[in-house]
Amino acid sequence: MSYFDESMYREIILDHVNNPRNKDKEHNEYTESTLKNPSCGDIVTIYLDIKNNIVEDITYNVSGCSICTSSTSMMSELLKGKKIDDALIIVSNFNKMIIGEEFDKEILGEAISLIGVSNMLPRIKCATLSYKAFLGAVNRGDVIE
Amino acid sequence: MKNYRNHFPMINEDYIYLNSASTSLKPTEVINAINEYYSSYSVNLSRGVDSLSYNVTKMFEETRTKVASFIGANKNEIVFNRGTTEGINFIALTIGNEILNENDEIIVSIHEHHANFIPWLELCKKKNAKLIIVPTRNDGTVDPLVLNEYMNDKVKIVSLNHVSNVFGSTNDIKKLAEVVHKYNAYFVVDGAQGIVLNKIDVKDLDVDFYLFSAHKLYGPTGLGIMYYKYNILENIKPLYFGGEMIESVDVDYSTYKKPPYCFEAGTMMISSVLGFSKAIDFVNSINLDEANEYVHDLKKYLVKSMRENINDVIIYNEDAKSHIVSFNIVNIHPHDIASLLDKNKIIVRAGHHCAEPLIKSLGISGTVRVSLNIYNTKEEIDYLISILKKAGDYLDVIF
Repeated sequence: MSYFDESMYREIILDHVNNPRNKDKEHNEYTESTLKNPSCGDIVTIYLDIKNNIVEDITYNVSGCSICTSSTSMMSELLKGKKIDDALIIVSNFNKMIIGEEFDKEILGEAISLIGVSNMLPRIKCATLSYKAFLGAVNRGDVIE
Repeated sequence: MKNYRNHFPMINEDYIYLNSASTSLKPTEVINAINEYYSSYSVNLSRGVDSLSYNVTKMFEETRTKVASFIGANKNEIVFNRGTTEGINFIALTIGNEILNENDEIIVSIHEHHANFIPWLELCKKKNAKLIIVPTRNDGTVDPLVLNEYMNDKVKIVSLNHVSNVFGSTNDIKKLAEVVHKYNAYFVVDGAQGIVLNKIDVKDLDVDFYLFSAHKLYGPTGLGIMYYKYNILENIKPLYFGGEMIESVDVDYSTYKKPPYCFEAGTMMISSVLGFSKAIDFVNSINLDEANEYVHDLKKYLVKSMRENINDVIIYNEDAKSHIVSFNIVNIHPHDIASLLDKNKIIVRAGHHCAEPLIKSLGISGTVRVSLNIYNTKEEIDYLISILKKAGDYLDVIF
């Protein structure tokens, strides 16, 4: 990672920590899914408005560390407006990035800023919590862990 | 104070260990005892006529006597189990289940570890009884006068921590026991933290149950001790059935040994008991008053250093005479702090510390907890402070 990349990624993460996107909005009759990391207590509830297989809207509640909250914010921006199939590809690529596998960085937007989490194993669950909750909401509204 | 660091192989340049309330480091004597068991006489108890088994059984029972003496109990008032959590669950599932009726009450405090909260919550649900949370002082302790206001003939069990694992504050167990016994209720004490560097005399305290875990007192994991007043469990039906706890078995009946043996079914955690014997020896070799003062002084030094050097720090138990400091730094999540410390080879705990009701009552998501022991030093505190000064750079962990 270049010095430039690192500097930019820090700014992106801090921006999402301090100015989370799509958080705590109205979510009447949205599909919801809550996931908690029992070892650290980070908890996220994702609310999805899915129409015609498109993620029309996404909002969430989150209580957690900077990695968890910024990742949730970035995810909400990435997946809003996407077809479900495209959203699932993004989720899959994010998961690959986080565990250090080859991934398509073109489709991850600002979420690429969390690439360093792959070197910090205890924080992987922080970064992926919201993505897992998203999968839960997409599948049946049940939590998948 | 004498330097005990060289007793602990895990003390080295690699890590600064500030999480002893979670589990303490182990002295060489304990580790060697476990190795010796497995390499020289790794046999079972009492299941053979061989001299090895006889000797191991003798050592095992001598440890029971040693543990009893350590806390002022009689030998037959000590049950070995898997830990404090199992001990409290055991009480809830046996004597608790027997004596609790609909609309009866069990009293706990909001400062209890989940192990001393959930067993009672579940028991009350099962029996349609009430779990009452007695208010605490700001420091987390229960005022005996306040407890007295909550006591009545419906209260069957009061279960409180001796020392809180989050605030490190110490309850006046003796005075609380007097209040509980005025109403003929049982007093259960979670001694998981209380056993650390305190001299315990269960008869003087007059508790009905006192539970702790070996691994918090320099002993191995997988072993807990339940002290109980003998008459309370003398006629209680065992919870677990199997080998060793029986007197006689046939196809249509079984009879059981007397306590404590009827409560110890199956192959016991032999290596852990033998290891814990050495842990007790180690504690007995320490000047406890001196060790306590050393650790409390270290805590005071840590608090003073934080106040002087860390902006926006919130310390939840500043005045507690304790080995624990729980704190937060405004606008920085405790996990981010703990992660930054980890990157700098400092081990603490962050989160709800298995005390979610307490953490939620404080309106926070968690705290960072530093817990000290006799192997920690001022130099380690100074290094901790130097890293905490840079807490704003918590994203360093992923770059």
